[in-house]
Amino acid sequence: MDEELLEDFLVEAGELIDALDGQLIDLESRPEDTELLNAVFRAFHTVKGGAGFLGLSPLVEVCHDAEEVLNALRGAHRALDAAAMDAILGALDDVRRMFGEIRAGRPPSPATPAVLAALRRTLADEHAVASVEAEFAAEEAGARGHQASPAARVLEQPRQTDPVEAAFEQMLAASAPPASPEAEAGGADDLITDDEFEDLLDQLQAAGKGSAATPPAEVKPEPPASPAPQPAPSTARAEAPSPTPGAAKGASSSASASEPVEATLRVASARIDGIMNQVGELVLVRNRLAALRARVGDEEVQRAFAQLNLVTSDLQASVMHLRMQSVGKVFGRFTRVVRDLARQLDKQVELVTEGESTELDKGMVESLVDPLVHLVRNAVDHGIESPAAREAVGKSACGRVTLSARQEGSHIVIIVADDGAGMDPERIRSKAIERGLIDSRTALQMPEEDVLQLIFMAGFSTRDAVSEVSGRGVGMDVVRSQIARINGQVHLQSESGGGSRVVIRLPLTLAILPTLMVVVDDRRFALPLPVVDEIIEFNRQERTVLDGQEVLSRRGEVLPLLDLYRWLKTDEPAPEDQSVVIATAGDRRVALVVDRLLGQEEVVIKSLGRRLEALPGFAGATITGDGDIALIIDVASLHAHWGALSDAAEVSLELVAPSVRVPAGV
Amino acid sequence: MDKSMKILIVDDFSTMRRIIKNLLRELGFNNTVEADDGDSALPVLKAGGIDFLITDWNMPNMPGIELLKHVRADPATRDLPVLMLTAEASREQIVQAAEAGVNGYVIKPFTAQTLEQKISKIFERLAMAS
Repeated sequence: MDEELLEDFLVEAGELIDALDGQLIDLESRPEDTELLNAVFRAFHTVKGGAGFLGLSPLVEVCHDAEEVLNALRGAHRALDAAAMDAILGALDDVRRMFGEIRAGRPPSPATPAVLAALRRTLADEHAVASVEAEFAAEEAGARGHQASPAARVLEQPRQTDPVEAAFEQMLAASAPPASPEAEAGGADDLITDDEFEDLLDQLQAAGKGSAATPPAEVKPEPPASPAPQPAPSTARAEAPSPTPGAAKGASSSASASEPVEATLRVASARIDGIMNQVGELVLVRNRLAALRARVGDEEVQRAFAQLNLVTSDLQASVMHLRMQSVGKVFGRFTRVVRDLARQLDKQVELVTEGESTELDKGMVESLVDPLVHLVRNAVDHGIESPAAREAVGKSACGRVTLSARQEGSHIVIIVADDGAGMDPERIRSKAIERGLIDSRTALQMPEEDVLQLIFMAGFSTRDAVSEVSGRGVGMDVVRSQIARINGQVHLQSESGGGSRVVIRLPLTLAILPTLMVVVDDRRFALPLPVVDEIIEFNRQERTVLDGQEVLSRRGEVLPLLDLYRWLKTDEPAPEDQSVVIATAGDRRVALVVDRLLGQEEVVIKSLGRRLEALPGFAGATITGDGDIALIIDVASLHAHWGALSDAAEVSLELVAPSVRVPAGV
Repeated sequence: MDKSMKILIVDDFSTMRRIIKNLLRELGFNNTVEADDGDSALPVLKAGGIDFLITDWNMPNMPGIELLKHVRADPATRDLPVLMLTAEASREQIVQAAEAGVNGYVIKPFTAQTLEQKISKIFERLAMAS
């Protein structure tokens, strides 16, 4: 099959799949919502239809079975129980696994037998309920003395149709003469053959019905004045290769002339990344021009540059906006996470989401998933108490986890809050001392707010801590480093008995990084500004060796010393008047010795290319205003690899510094 | 059968519309337009010039069967040949569609050959009736 078609299918069907988690959880709380049930049914149905054409039979199989269960639910008016929901969610997981395989370029492996078995078991149950109901209805009819005709019995059976279709059926039953014999004889599962269909058309034609027959009187020739309750989602999807796209679009906008139709264009994200890159190049040229501008006195040139500057900034903002995605896409997954975990722990937890429409850079949205899953799981697992414990302290049995997002200036703030037991700073304090993360004198002077942050330190989290400090701190260091990787910061607030809040602050975009430009050995390096805490003069007297590692003692704090000059040039004497940049590397502060400070510069991050990507200590490269290349230092990685790096300094220097070329078009 | 006839493809899933468009192109039918459900198909039909309608059954807002009924109710389109796409040949559904005036149905997934047969069959019957 056509690769491009498969690609389209993965994107479009993928959106349906992504929406399903949330829809299914909603459905569990609102089983009577037939619109929602139909939407869920249709999603599986649609995926199955597409998969059929693309020859993805395992996908067809699992979607088909899920569809059968949902169809049974549509017919048998009975609450969707947790077992049925688990079966359908299981199917959804299987579908997602197959999507992953297809995306990775492999054919999907067969449907998981346990998933199919669960679906079929649910279906068997549903059938049992449905047929019991039907029997009961028939008996009742008999008891009332009305001998139900076979046709009536068929109609009494729970229908497996849309409400619209059901209404039409009733209309037919009420007004139309008895339908053709086949219609009465056949049950819902009865299939028609081509020949039978031809015969049926013959009969209808003979009776003056069928094609071009008089329409049923009830059908209004005009579409309903007020359209469907939900706004038609992006009615006109522009499709480039359509011979007359204008016709379709124009027509559908005339359908609802009063409301503007928003045309949506699907573009592969790689293309947008490509444009982003080119804009990045443009920004670099602009920066270079800005540096050269001083040499030209001509006012007209200055004006033209000012304009170029403006247009470039606008263009950059627009392209950045293209990469934006709403965090709602991520938040949507958590209803499922919370539900499954609460069910597993016998807790009652509701998830409230706020600010789903807040937009973030696409790359960041993806990188947020893992840390957020961690935080939300923590909130449910360790934050929210058992229903009994909650009631004992006068709270409602059902706990609440709130996931919210909002923009604050050039930052996005994401908060994971729970109304659980909260954390006791005193226990965190003693735990941190016990683990040797902090000396007791410092610990005792620390304000409570700072004490809470200790749980983000590596080594705080242990199994022991789970039980003693309401389990927080489990992998919180990992959360912190994941957030740091996207230049974000994380902060914990907690109130004993009143719940906890984890506040994540993120920059709006990853594409542009504010940096501190420094010089080491006449080479330029960029330090990401978010990790820079302090700049001080380098005083060699403050330098000591502790456990074989060079450190800098400063106001009672001992900081690992990373001398960049020595790293790059092991033998030559260091220049005079060096400076120290104190930066945060993951969960601790380090001191970087640099030759000179140049100042702040916003840079466009360029990847080092596949061959150099894994090089420790570097986050990428950038082109500076005067056309030079500067390597961007990843402080956390530099610190983590410092031992090995300083030993092998010459090797890494060979690899990196003299020969770096930023690959074009990366 | 006129290969240049204008065919309207109605399906809410754009990938499916592309699949059908590709199959039609394989058969030499290059004149196609698209709509993503009954609601947006009606104005296209009203605008005129559509010679053949291929519609999915299961769509949000206005399902295929409703679209069919609207088509048959409007004097301008009552003779328009309609081919319905369904997931299975459920007798109940097909009878319902036949009574609403469908000219043919095709079960997904299908090949270009099947689609061609279905379309030819519809035109044969129309020729016989007139």
